Amino acid sequence: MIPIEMTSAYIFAVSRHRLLTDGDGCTTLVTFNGCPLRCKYCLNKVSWDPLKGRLYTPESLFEEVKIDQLYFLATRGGITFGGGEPLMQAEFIKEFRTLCGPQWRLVAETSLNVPLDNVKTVDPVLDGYIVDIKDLDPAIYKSYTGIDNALALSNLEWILQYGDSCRVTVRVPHIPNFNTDQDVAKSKERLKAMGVANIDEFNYIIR
Amino acid sequence: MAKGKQTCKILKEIRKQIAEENDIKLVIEECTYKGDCLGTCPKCEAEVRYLERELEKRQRMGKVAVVAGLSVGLLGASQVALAQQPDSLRMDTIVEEEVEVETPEFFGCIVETMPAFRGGEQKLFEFLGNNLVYPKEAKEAGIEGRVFVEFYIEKDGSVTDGKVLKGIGYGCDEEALRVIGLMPKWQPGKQRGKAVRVRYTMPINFKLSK
Repeated sequence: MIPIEMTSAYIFAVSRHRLLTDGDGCTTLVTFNGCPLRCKYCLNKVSWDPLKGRLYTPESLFEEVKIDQLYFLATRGGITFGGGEPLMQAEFIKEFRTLCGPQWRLVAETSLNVPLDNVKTVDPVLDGYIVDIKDLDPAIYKSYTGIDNALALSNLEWILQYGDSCRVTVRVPHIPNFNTDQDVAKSKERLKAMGVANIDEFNYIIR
Repeated sequence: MAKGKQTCKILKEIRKQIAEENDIKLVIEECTYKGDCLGTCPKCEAEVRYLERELEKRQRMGKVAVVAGLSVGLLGASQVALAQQPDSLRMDTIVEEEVEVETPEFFGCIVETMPAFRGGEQKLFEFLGNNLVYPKEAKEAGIEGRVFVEFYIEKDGSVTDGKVLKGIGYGCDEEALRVIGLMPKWQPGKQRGKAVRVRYTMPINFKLSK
């Protein structure tokens, strides 16, 4: 039983030994429950329920994943936090960093659609962001995710302004039935103008 | 090859590299399991635990455990092509004794903010690539290998006290030290917001282009 006052979070999967799939090196993917978006083609709908999965504290997660510390250090890998929306668990990730130390690479796969305070909390302890920005057009974004993208964009601007832009990879998907090649090109153009150096264009696969 | 088997093969190579670099005897038996796997199994896990114990032993004896970044090249993540010059570099970090360490791990110690080469690792690669010259003597003799250098990043970021921990001779040791001495100031390491002196170990590969 985890006392309620401790930082804790529901996690629905801990996937080990991912090689160059979620960032550099050998990584363990940790996926949190809870997400503000309702993407039409979401691959992890199980994450929509914030109270499903297994309840972890930063300590119990660290105990479980440190088994791969040698691989993390040798390959400059570490933990990729996904979800769901990992930045909803900013305090958890911050506490996790104090346990794992500075040598593990911590990356968040995020929509950035969270309060700025969450970004400010987690930013100093993250080595990288993989941002799924969907589409920069507000109408397309809203029709696909169900919510506005203004917060995600202002958070991205904050990270680019106050952090090292090299840490940020922005993924720009072709979303069948929601955006066109021209929309994707427009998004990329705007992102470049914002100062995003690493853009990863890709196709959503509908299952 | 099935994905699990492929993962298993890569992880096995990483274990081999760690063992070789640290002079740990590790006999890896050929896996006879025919089906696909998760990329690891109790036997693989037992090898990792064995390596951890051996590294711990070496650390207790005051030896440097070479692990950090050792297998980056193996995954093809940061292959840095430096024609006729060191082809990659890896770092291991150890905090100097004066730093109070809260959570000692089984190798290396923890400093809250590690020292950083200004501009990041890529700039460090570039700096080394631009400055290292393959010694003529080593080139003529076909000498390749790793030179392990140790140095300190002072509280003001300056690089001091460079020395060779393990060399390969033929001018490579001197060349590695010469370039370490040329490095500009780093961003110093910090512990609880205060700059601290940090010891660094950096293996530099000398490899001749084919």
